[in-house]
Formats: sequence, structure tokens, C-alpha cells
Amino acid sequence: MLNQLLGTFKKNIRSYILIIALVVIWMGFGIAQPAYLSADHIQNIFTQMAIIAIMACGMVFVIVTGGIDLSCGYGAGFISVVAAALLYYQKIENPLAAMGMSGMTLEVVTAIVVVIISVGVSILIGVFQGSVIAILAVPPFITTLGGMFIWKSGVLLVTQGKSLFISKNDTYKFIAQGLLPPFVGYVIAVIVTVIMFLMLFQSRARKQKYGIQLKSLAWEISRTAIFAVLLWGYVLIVNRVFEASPEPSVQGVPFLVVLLAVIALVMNYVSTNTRYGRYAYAIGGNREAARLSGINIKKSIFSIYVTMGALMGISGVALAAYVGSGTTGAGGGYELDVIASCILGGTSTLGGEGTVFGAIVGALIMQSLSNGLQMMNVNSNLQYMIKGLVLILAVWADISMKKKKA
Amino acid sequence: MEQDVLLEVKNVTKEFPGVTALSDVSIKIKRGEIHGLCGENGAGKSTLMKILCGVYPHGSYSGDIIYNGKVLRLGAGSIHQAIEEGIAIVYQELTLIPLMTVGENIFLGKEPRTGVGIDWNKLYSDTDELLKRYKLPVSPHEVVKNLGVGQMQMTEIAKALSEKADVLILDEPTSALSEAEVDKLMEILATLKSLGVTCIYISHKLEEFFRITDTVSVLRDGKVVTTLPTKDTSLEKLVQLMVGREMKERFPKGNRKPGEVFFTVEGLRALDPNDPSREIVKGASFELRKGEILGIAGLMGSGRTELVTTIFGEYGILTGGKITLDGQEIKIGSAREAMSHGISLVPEDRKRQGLVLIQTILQNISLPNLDRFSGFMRINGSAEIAEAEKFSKSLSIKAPSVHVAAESLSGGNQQKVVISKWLMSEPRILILDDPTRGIDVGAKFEIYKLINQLAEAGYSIIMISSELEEVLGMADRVMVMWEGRSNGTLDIAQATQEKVMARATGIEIA
Ligand SMILES: Nc1ncnc2c1ncn2[C@@H]1O[C@H](COP(=O)(O)OP(=O)(O)OP(=O)(O)O)[C@@H](O)[C@H]1O
Ligand SMILES: [Mg+2]
Repeated sequence: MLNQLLGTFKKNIRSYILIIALVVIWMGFGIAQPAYLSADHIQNIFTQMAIIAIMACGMVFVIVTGGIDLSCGYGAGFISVVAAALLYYQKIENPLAAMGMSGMTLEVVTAIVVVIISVGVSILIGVFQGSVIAILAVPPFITTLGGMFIWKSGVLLVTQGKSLFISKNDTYKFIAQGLLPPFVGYVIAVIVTVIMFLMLFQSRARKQKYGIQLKSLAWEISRTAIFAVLLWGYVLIVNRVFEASPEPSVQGVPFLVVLLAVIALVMNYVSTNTRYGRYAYAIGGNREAARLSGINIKKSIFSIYVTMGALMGISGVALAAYVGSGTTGAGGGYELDVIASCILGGTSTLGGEGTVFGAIVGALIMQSLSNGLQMMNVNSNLQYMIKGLVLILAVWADISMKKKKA
Repeated sequence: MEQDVLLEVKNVTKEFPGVTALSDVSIKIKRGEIHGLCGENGAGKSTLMKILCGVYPHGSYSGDIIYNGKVLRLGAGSIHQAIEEGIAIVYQELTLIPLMTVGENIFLGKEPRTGVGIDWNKLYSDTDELLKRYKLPVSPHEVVKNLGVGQMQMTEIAKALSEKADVLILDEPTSALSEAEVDKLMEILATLKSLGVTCIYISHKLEEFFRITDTVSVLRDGKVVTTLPTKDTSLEKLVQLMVGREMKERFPKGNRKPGEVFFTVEGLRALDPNDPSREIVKGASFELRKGEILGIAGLMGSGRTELVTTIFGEYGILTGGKITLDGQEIKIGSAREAMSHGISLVPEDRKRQGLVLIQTILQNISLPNLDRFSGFMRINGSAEIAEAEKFSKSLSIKAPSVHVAAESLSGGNQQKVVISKWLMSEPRILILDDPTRGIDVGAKFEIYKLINQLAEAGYSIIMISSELEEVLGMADRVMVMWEGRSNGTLDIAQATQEKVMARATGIEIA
């Protein structure tokens, strides 16, 4: 049985190597700087990476089809300043108040309307870019390079060169800054654990029904168990059960992390279990074969850029809530982090290959690196250099590993 | 006698993850002979050839290759080394660069130079000379992507011959060639032999071995079954050695009762989309009955592929004629529309048009069929796997499981994946463009049986083949193409080789 476990491990070595790299990074920094592994900091890493990781969930599909989205950084920035402007100029709040709303209701409804409008705008951005790419057949690189300039201008136009503070609406800020009460964290952890195991057994039962050979039960259970342990470890740490007398105000799973987890799970499911996902991989792998298989390539590509737009919008909304304002530089350069996360996570720039799970781990690695370097007081001017080298190194290692296999 | 051996394969074993492609293989190739190599799909033929020419370098296999009395040690990643040693290969899969011309492809990496620049005049005149010398019907300036598979194959051969080769390896060179081109290749091989070139020749068209080879080796499951002089064996015996059992007939008997005509093509004309001044289909008409197999015969370049891809909505620009289905005129603008009318096409070039190579067998087979496994959103993965495994089994696709990448399969097994993909879609009309290309005799028989079953169940089949015999063996009626137009349809009872050829060459006009 151990042999079988090793065999399966070897087959999936890619995803495990990423996780191992992550653990090594954490341990390295943890030994050098014990504060790195503190609950505070772990909460930080996850919240900060979430904004990038949400977009990475969409970018994986974009790159898998052989495209790229350079506009998502400034796009998210544009959405963040749109949301901030709506709140700052009280464009939503005032009409609602005139309708007789007040107090908490007013705040919550305002926040919800702002989110809906902002994500709506970002979907329109996706529709625009998706149409240009899919219907007018302008290459994605060019379309989104253009988009990058356009949304950069958008940011400047909306902010008029000043920061738009979201001072009054705490509900809105909860999106990125809020922590869920500890018991909610536990409830979620219990539910997820139960679902994971249920799904495991359900899928085994279904496979059995169709007479498909099953993987070893021990392996499948241990794999699910490892995820459960990681999940529980995280929840326990951020709920601060390991601290003598934690402050109640810092206990809990960040709302943004839950949001990311939901998005990641959905996109991961979509990637393997729906036509939408499967067509994306086929198009990226061999466009001609996909077309001759009757796939509507235009529709597929279009919907992928629309999804990317929506996720960019969610990131933008979160960005405004995280910073607490809409700023003139919002989102600039994020696209590079998003793309790097995907590539670090094993997405092939040639198209056809990549996983959502990998992209999330990639984003986590990038964030863990920059936070660690910061904590070690590495000159911040050097940090990009290190991140860049890590990216090149990772891809090179991957390529040479593949070669060896062949 | 010993000094006669030019190339000796000695106890070679080569493993891939989960597969032993070659186990303890030993073969002696004598200087100046044409040595045939046959075996089922996945037997290890191509793997052995890739070892000989350095694709799998020294050290990635065990055992030795002894060439000219010395152990051959080809380094990793340098196929040039093999060329320097005088070993040239025409791969089973085409390796040409589609956007370059024939000349550029042939001289890729060894372009004649004028100082720093490329001497284009010399390049094209050399190409021209090379093509003329071997009478290859290809133009040096043609862009490769506009060529048919057969012409691409010719270009590959020209490319291999453009260097001085002591050993020429041909891995299924004739799989896409029609009879006339095969004859031409045989002539070329005879010439090369008289010039002292040693040749290793792989094919699934076993008759060819008896036309040119001196010796034949049979591989089965990665082992050498036997090596013997060609004159000491027979076709039946070779088949038996290859598949391990006797095969009485090549084509299974069908029990078909073709029904009504429900699909017609009348006077179809179409232009080349890459060069709209050229007419590629110059008037083609035929009718298709329910539950029949209609063969399309014709020489290479007669417009068979162009005709069916145009009908499928994926190639030519229609300028005239009409297509009717169930009495209604239909317009087909894309593969998707064709499929929505119940028409499927097994394309001619598996690597370019048929497969997503980096994806698994499963993903490839189910790609056009995902709708049937899907609910509103979710794909029923288990049903999908079960169905794919059914096809994989009935066509005996040789692979550890359906979850391995298509690129790791042998050529013939890749072709089986492409066929499975379309058989699963159960179309009303299944168009097969040279479906058994590169498939071994045993598996061909299985595919014929499946095609027969489909026809018996009321599906209609249109079948193109580079082998006339296959068309004659399978079809109920044969439509013959000549220079882009249909030159009559013959009932199988009256269709003989001679009659079909007379129409295909325009000696007789309908
Ligand atoms: N890169 C690879 N990775 C894994 N397995 C491989 C790889 N290349 C070949 N194989 C396996 O090795 C075996 C021999 O393949 P090979 O291509 O030599 O067969 P072949 O005799 O040329 O068959 P065909 O007649 O279909 O061309 C097959 O089972 C194939 O799946
Ligand atoms: Mg082969």
C-alpha cells in the first residue's frame, strides 16, 4: 500500500511540490522571524493575497485558452475607485436616505447597492473586452493592453487626483477587513469537512456503479484528511485558540478569505466538471481540433473574459474596502502578480494547462515571499528582483522536470 | 557475413512510465538492404526508430546500438548528430512548419548562405532539383499548410533525402499516400538501394513488404518475434506473426439494407479559402441513402478531402450547388452547424485536426460528446469514463488507462482515439477521411466491424480512403472524383479496380 501511495504521489508531484515549497518558505521565515508564524501575520498573508488570488481564479482560464489579461490590474483599480466614489460622494446613500432609510439599514443597503453596481460595471468591461477579442478577433494581448491604458485613465478621471475616503460605511469595509465570529468559523469548518468526506464517498459509489476502477481508499481518505487538517489548523490559529488571552476584536476568519475560498471552489469545480471549463482547456490545447469538434469558440472565449471581468470587479470592490479609500494608483501592477501567480502555480503560457488550485497556491507563495522579505527588512527595492528570480527559477525547474520525464 | 552488418540493435530495452515499449530487442540490419519492420499499433516500432536517430539519446535506454562496428552514442537533444552519422529519418508524424514554404522546410537549419543572408535563389533551385530528381509532385514555393497530407509526406521524404544518408528510416511513409504515389515511392526506394543506401521501412500496408524489402522483422509487444528473408514468408504468415492469430478475411461481411435517399449534394462548387482564385471543387454531385456506406475514390489531389470538408462547413468558399437533407436545402457554415444537422467528420490529420495532444484519451474522446453527459451544468464524469472505456476496449487502444495523454500513444492508437471520438457521437452521417491511416490489420478489422454496425443500425457513412481496396471492400457504392469533380458513382457489384481507376484518371467520363 505504501508503494501505491508513493506511486500516486509521484504522479501528482507537481501540486505537491508547490505545497512543499510553501511549507519550506513558511518554515524558513518562521525560524528566522518567529513573528512570521503568528496568528496576526497568518491572518495578514491570507487577506492580502486574496485580492490577487480572486483574479487569478479567472486568469487561469484566460491563460489556459491561450490568452492573457493585462488590463485586470487597472481594471480592478478602476472598479475600486468607482465604488469609493459612490460612497465618498454619497451617490447611493443620499437617494436611499431620501426614501426614508436610516441607521444600519441605510448602511447595509448602500453597501450592497455599491457592490452590485461596481461588479455590474466590471462585467460590462468584461463584455467589452470579450467582444473585441472573440468577435472582432483582436488578439487578447493587444485588447487588454489597450484596456490597461483605458482603465488607468478611468482611475485618474474618477479620482481627479485625490484619495476618496470611505469613512462612514463600515459594512462596506467589512468585505475586506471584517472577521467572522469564531463560532461561524467552526461551523464552516465542520460543514466543509463533512461535505468533503461525503463527496469522497459519493464519488466512489458513483464510480463503482459504472464499474470504474477505484483509487485506494486509504490514499483518498488520507488526502482528504490532510486538507481537513490544514483547514482546521488555519481556523484554530485565526480564532486564536492557542493564545492565552486573545483580544476578541482580532479573533476569526476574515470574510475575504471565505469569499476567496468560495470563488476558488466554484471555479475549480467549473474547470473540470462543466463544459465551460473543458472547452477552455480544449481550445487552449488545440484550437483547430476544438473547432472541428463542434465547440463554439467565440462563445467560449467571450464568456471567459466576462467571468474574468466579474472576478476583477469583486477584487476591485475588495480592494477599496481593504484600503478604505479609492486612490490614484489603485491596482497598478496587480496584473503582473496575478499572471505570476498563475504561472508559478503551473499554468502554461502556451495554453491548455493550468489549475485554479495551483494559481491560489502560487498567489500564496508570492505573498508569503514578499511579506517574509519585508519582515526580514530586506531592502524593498530588492523585493521585486527576488520575486522575479523565484518565478523564473520555478518555471525552469518545472520545464526541466518535464523533460526528464519524457 | 558479419562485416555485412551495418547496424545492429543489441538487447535494447526502453521503458516509459507504466509501459515497456521495447524489451530486449535485437535486430541486425545488413548493409544495402531494405529491412521491413512490422507489428501492431504500439508494438514499439517508432520507439526503436527514435532511438536510432537520437530522439531518445544514448543512456535513456539499455542495450547498445552498434553502427559501423562502433557503439552509437547520440547525445541528448541533438538530432544533427544522427544526420552527421548518415542516419536520416522520415517520422511517422509530420514535422513540417505549416507557415513556411516547401523549400524553406526542406532546408530548415541548413539554408544555403550568401555571407550573412540566405541565398534564396539557390535554396529554391536546389529544392526544385531535388523534387524533380525524385519526381515528387510538389511545388517548392507552396506554403506547407496548403498542401494535402500526401504532398506533405512527399516533402518530408525530400527533406530526409536532401542530406547524404547512408541509412534512411521511413516510419509509415505510405500511410497517407494513394496507390500511384506508393508506386512512385517504391521506385525511389529502388533507386536509393541501387545507390547503396540502407533502408529501414515501417508500414501497416503489408503488401508493400513483398514489393521492396529484402528482410522483414516482426515486433510484438516490444519484443522481436522473428527476422526472416522476405522471400521465405507470405502475407498470411506475416499477419499471423503480428497479431498472434490467423486472419481469414480483411473485411467483415456486412448485412446492410440501404434505405431511402435522404441527403444529396448537387453540383457543388467551391473556392480555396486561402487563394480564392483557385477552384478546388468543380462540380460534385452524389446522393446518400440511409444505412449505406458510400466510398469516395480518387487520386491524391482529386479534391476528395476538399469536398467533404467543404460539405462540413470548414473549408471551401461555396460558389454554387446545393446540399439537401430530408428534402430541405441546408446551409452549413461551420463544424458546429454540421454537427447540429447530425453530420460528423473524422478529419484526415489526427495531430493537427483530430486531437488535443496534451489532453487524455478520455478528454479527447468525449470532447464533441460532452452535451450528452451534461445536465444543466455538471458533466457526469463517471458515465463519461465508462463510455470512453467501452470504446477504448472495443478498438483495443493500447494504453495503461484512458487517463494518459494522447501524445504518449503510438500513432495508430492516436488514430483509434480520433475514430472513437466520432463513433461515440452517433451522427446520422459520419464522414471518414482516411480513417484507418496507420492502423494495424487486426485493429482495422475491428474498426470495419464498428462501421458496419453503425450502417446496419441506420447511420450513413461516407468513406474516403487512400487505399482503393479498402473502399472496394467496405462500400455499397463508390463515387469517383477526378480533378475536383465527381465522375460518376458505381455500384459495388460493377466497381472493379480498373473501372474505378479509369474514372479517377479521366479516361472514362460519366
Ligand atoms: N512518450 C511516451 N510516453 C509514454 N509512453 C509512450 C511514449 N511513446 C510511446 N509510448 C508507448 O510505447 C509503446 C510503443 O509505441 P510506438 O510509438 O513505438 O508504437 P508503434 O509500433 O510505432 O505503433 P504504431 O503502429 O501505432 O505507430 C506504446 O504502448 C506507446 O503507448
Ligand atoms: Mg509508430
